[in-house]
Amino acid sequence: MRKEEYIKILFRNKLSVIGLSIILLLVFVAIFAPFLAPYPEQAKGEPNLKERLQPPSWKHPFGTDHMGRDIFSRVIYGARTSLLIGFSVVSIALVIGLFLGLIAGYFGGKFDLLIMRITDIFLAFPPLLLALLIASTLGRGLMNAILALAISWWPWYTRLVRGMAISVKNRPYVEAAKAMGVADWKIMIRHILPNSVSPLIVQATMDIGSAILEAAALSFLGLGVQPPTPDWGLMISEGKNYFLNYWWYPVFPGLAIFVTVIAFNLLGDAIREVIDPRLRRRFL
Amino acid sequence: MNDLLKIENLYINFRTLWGVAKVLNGINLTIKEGEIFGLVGETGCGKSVTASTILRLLPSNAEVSGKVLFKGENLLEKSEEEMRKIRGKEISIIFQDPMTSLNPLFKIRDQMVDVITLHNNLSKEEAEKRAKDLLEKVGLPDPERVLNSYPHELSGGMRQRVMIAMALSSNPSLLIADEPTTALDVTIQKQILKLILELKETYGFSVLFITHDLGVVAELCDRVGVMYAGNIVEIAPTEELFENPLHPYTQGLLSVVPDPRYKKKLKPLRGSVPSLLNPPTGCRFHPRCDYAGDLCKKEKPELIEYSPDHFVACHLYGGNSE
Repeated sequence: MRKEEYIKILFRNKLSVIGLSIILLLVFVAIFAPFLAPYPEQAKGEPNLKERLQPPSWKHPFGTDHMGRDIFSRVIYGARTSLLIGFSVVSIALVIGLFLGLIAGYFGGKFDLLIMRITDIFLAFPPLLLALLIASTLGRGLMNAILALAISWWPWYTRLVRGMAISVKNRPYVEAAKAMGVADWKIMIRHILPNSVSPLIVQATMDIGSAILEAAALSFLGLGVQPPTPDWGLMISEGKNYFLNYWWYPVFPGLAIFVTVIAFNLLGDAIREVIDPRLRRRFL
Repeated sequence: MNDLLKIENLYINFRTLWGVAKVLNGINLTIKEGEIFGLVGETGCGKSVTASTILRLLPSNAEVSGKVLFKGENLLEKSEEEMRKIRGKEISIIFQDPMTSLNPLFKIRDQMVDVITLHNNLSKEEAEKRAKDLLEKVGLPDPERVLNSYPHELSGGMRQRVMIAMALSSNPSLLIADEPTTALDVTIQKQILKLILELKETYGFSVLFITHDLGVVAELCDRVGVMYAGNIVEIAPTEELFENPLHPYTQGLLSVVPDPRYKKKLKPLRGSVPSLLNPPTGCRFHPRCDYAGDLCKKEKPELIEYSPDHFVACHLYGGNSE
């Protein structure tokens, strides 16, 4: 099928368009944060104690926090942190998963046994608990949070890739390639990987949303990003103490997370629909 | 003519969940330089396993013993690295199903260039030129268009031609054709067979042609080996085999080829193919054989040269150690 047709299918579904637009908007906001945020200095943490806990107004659309910082600016800068976490966690997990999954699936036997049992050990832990454990061992901070999440995330990709590799490796063109003397690593890269990539794209897209959510959870529990970095999870954590009297403090960062996660899920669904013809809704 | 490939006493067992399947039971055959050797037999008799063994592409649960001598060297003793240099370069294979033998995600150009540069020290441009030449040689009139196509844009016959072109890209000395026409229309079948014959004349390689279609064998092959349940029961020059079949199984096979000129009833072989997990003792054909005697149940008949160039493995024709 041609590219234009894919794009047509993508745009036929309104929800897909909404998801894609939100993500593009987020990326735009993250890139141009210094130009979009009305108070970039406050977003980076500079206190402004004269204007503590102001309700939303024209000057501060989302209100201000307990240090008088403009929440709107901080939410805008938070998009940077969140997207960075989302993309890096999924990329790291994906690279590890691809590498181990391809080896396990393609070679099978002892490699498969070893890799999959290690994977099982990781999968035995509830994911957030494992991330918490690793984050608390490594120490606080953005990089450690990313690492902790990636380490708790790769087993899913390993399993997914392994399954795909097993189903692809018995296809005749793989056998034909082998019969032509193509080396194993080349078969993996040229034949197995490209033919098993579609479910991965869907999974990875949705996981970016989930990773952002879990990173927020880590921050909320004090193990992720540290103040004064602008981060949505952290803002909710700080704002929860003021929730009853100053509702806007935790609500706007919360909304940001909510919208972001939904957008990535919508996009994931949309991509799945484009890739897998059986899931296409014909009338919408 | 010299021997190109010599298989000696090849035994192959597959370990399975249900027991050990004795898939090849000591086969012997020789393929001479420049000949087309047909290997016929029913589904599951070991034809394709023989091909996989020559290229050492058997699954890991296979146990192999015997010798596969290619140009005098035993392929079964080669390292994986050495085998990789033989596959596609010295020995090429074309498969039954051209519809799925090409990677659906890449254009023919990429796939052909990949294969050509694999075994030849050529630049990308030279490889592309080579690919075009090859496509023309296999009778595809517009090679540029084919190179720019994805596999799904080509018909089955065209894809099989592309597969043949790829198989020939390094001038192999042996081409294994594993039922290359089974998945094609009859008219296309005929064209592909003709093509293989022409290319063989031009390039002078030998062909191991695996099929269950006796009509194809009659048309194409110089010599034929007949397989039954993991054994080679008869080897003879094609004409000799059709005119003077010795083994009861071969006779049975030939008697069920319908002849449109006569309205006669076909005489099928009784019984069915034995399970290789628990094959019959002695001659594996004896439960279905009208001539079977006590000896057949006890002892496996050896392949003997009954008349010049005509080999048969059957106790009816003596030659046994007794």
